[in-house]
Amino acid sequence: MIYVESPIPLVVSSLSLLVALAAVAFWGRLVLRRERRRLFPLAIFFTAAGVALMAGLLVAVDAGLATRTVLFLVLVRLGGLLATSMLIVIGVMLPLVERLREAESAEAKFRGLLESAPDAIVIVNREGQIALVNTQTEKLFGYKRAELIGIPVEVLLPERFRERHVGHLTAYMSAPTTRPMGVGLELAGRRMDGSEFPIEISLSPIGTEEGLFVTSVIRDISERKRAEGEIRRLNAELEQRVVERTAQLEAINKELEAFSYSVSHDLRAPLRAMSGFSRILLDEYAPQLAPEAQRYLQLVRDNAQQMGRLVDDLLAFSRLNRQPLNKQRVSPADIARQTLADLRSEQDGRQIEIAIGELPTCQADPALVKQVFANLLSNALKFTRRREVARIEIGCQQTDGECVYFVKDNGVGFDMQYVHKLFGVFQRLHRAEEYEGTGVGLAIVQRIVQRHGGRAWAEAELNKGATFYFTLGGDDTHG
Amino acid sequence: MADNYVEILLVEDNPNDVELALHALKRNNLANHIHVVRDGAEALDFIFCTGAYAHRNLANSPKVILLDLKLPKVDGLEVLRQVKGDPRTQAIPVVVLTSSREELDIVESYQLGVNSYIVKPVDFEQFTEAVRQLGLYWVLLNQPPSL
Repeated sequence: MIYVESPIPLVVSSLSLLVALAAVAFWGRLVLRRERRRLFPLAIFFTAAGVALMAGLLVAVDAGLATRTVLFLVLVRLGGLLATSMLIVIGVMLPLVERLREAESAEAKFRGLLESAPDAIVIVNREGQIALVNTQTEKLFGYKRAELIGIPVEVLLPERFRERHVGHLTAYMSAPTTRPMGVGLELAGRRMDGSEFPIEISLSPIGTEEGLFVTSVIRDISERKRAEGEIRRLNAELEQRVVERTAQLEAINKELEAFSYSVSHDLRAPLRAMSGFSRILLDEYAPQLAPEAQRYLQLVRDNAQQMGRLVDDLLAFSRLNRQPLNKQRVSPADIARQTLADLRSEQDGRQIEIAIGELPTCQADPALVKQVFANLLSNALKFTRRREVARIEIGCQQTDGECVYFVKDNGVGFDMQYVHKLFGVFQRLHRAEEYEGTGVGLAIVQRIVQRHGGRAWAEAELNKGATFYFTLGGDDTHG
Repeated sequence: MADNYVEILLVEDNPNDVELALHALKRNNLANHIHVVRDGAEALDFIFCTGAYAHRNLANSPKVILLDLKLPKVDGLEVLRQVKGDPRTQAIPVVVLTSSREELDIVESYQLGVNSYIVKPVDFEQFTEAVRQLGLYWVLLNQPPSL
């Protein structure tokens, strides 16, 4: 209504509105980058209102409107302006303040994180200057925070590493990656007082608006190094002890060998003389000796020979512990047959029924298995001597997947109450004049099967017979 | 005694064993050309014609050596090693006199080319068996050396 008479003021007003819109868009882009989305409509409204006011005034004056009307219009526009400003404050300033507070709390959290970390944390800028450190850094290196900020990080390294480190840093900055602790080198740190200590460092790049920074977490590993050194020292000590103990054992073993050599040689020499000369007496001087004297001489000879056998058996027994096992696939049935053939002299003139059952092959030392059969079969032959028909059975039974070999006879047997003595060295359950022997045979059997990882045991009944069982180690008995 | 009559060299320090061995040999008419030495050093002197035996001729080596293992001065294994290590003497058969199975093991472990073993005391049965193994009937028959 005001402008009806002339179209000019309308055109001017519209043009200035367009210009104002463009200006606001540009200004908003430049200055309020982040908030421009929210600010934009308000700014448009605010500016448009201002421009419209100015244009209105201009047109009003041109049109020669009464000052009162103009003043009314001015007031209306000013009211709009105020309202707009309020809107700006509420819509823009408050969120900005809120953001600021958030940023402050984030920084506080970051600080807290930095300070609560157990390790020293040093944040370095692209140029290798220290940007931020935590309290641990101060404690670890002995510098005050203010002394560190802004200076090259190399101050924390021993002199000899510094030059190289600059190169490392440059290389790292060109290709920053996260490098976990313990992956990199073990380095040394340098305290303000010049002392050094071993450190481990992890690196991680952080990109910020202010550019690339590198966070390095530095751990003092003196304690760990000391512990490692201690472990190494203890290990070396242990190794040394093992070496010494082994040497001692070897020496003892040598001594034992020398001892048994000596026993075998020196102990037998007097026995040889006793046996040899009494034999000469018996062979060549018998006619000049009374029968009683001959009997006594025979006793001297028998006893010397018995002692010779004892010495031999004892040596054989002790040798078992020293001799290495020569395990291979063996056929116990074949070994049993060979052993029986070797014992032929003990079978002459007797009626003996021998049954050899199915004996699976096994992994064992053939010479030692033969010794087991020799001892068990000569026992069986010996203790069935008074049977009209001796029966000896060699067999195998599977018990719990284990192959149990046995040698069974129908001889004199023994009372089971003495079974615990059976496998002891020099233990005998029969009088020497009834059944000869040294009491070492079954001890040898037990030692041999034990060395194979097996067991030996026996069952018997007095005057009915005995059965001796043995295993040769569970794992590789079959196949 | 002309040294070319020495057929058997007995190396033995134990006087009882010497006597028993000689007795066994004598009883079987083998003691005529036996020479006894009492330690390893003397054995080496005799075999290699050195020291007290420098006058001997190495060509007239004994036809068989009966060698004890545990000897004073130089032990039996060392004597054996030297005899078997020298081309002039390595053909001489050596019968080791062992006290026990234990000693036999020691000899075997050295693998010194011993020809036979006799476990003491030396009875005639064992002795002839050793000689049979060696194929040295000519020693028993007292034939002249044919080396």
